[in-house]
Amino acid sequence: MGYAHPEVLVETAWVAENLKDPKIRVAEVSVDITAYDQGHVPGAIGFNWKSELADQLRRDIPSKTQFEELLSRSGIGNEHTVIFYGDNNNWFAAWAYWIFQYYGHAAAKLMNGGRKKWADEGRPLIQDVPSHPRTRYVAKDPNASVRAFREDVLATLGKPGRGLVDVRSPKEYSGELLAPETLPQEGAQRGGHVPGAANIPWGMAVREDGTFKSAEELKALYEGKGITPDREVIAYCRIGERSSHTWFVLDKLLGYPKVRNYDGSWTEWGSLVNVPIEK
Amino acid sequence: MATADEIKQFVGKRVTLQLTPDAPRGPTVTGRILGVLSAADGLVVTLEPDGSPPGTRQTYHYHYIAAIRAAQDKS
Repeated sequence: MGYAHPEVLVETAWVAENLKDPKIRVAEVSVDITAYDQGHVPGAIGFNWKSELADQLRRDIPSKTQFEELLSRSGIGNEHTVIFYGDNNNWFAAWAYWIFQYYGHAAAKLMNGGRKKWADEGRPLIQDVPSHPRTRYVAKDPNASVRAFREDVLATLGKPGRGLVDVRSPKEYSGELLAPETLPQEGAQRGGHVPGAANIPWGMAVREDGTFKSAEELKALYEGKGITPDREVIAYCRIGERSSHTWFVLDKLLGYPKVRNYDGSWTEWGSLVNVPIEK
Repeated sequence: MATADEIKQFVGKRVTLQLTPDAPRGPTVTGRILGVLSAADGLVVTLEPDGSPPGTRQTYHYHYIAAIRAAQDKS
């Protein structure tokens, strides 16, 4: 058994061999927004998840217009294949990948193992910032099938044909923490999880070197917790980036037909009035 | 709960993990720690359990690890 869509994943060695391919753009998206400036894969563009992959007024992902402008000024054209990587095992790289799928840029891939594996292999990280000519990127209309909103989560409750997967750490799931322990404990009014959600932390999907587990191992992991391909699945975390990682696994590696990422995630659900919470 | 620093000292070694009641496959597991991944939401620990076919991996978020100790040699 192999991955359902193996073409969405590339290894570090492949990236190293294809850095000079003019049809490819490599992009770093790290949780630590200073990481890119400290050193990045040669030729890589840096995207700032706070300022460039989010609307700066509303809480939302970039609008279609903002997305088009970001890609155009970054030198990414509709013809380019974009390879994403980042720290924290590709959390925000997966977030960027998911946004690209939302706006219909199918030619995108994740670098397996992310920034850490690249660095662990002794591959170069440089500070030169590439300069690509501006493009005129045209995005497709949003692909609503990859994104869930709070109403979609509410509609899932109590429905056996639908499933929720909470990919946060066990203590966030239990409500002991509101956020990862290294971050301020804020952003949601209440702790806990959406009723019926299975807790499968994102990290369960990767090997000790950060690369994804085999399809067999992933199948056993998710199906063992009741997250089966016959169900409509929604993944969530705290702000939607860790759940992008799990969305990638379920949608792209396992080929589940109906998987969505709830980017409102716990910071929204845990602050909503009159919705159920379990601890 | 075992700390991340405590767990990192056992990478490559056989250990017994005492797991929290909500952890999968508890209450204890013995095997070799293949590696750990540090992330902003904590440590991810990958272990090859004793008696399992080669290449078998079990992964635990460190929130599930109540205590860790070196395992006695297999006899």
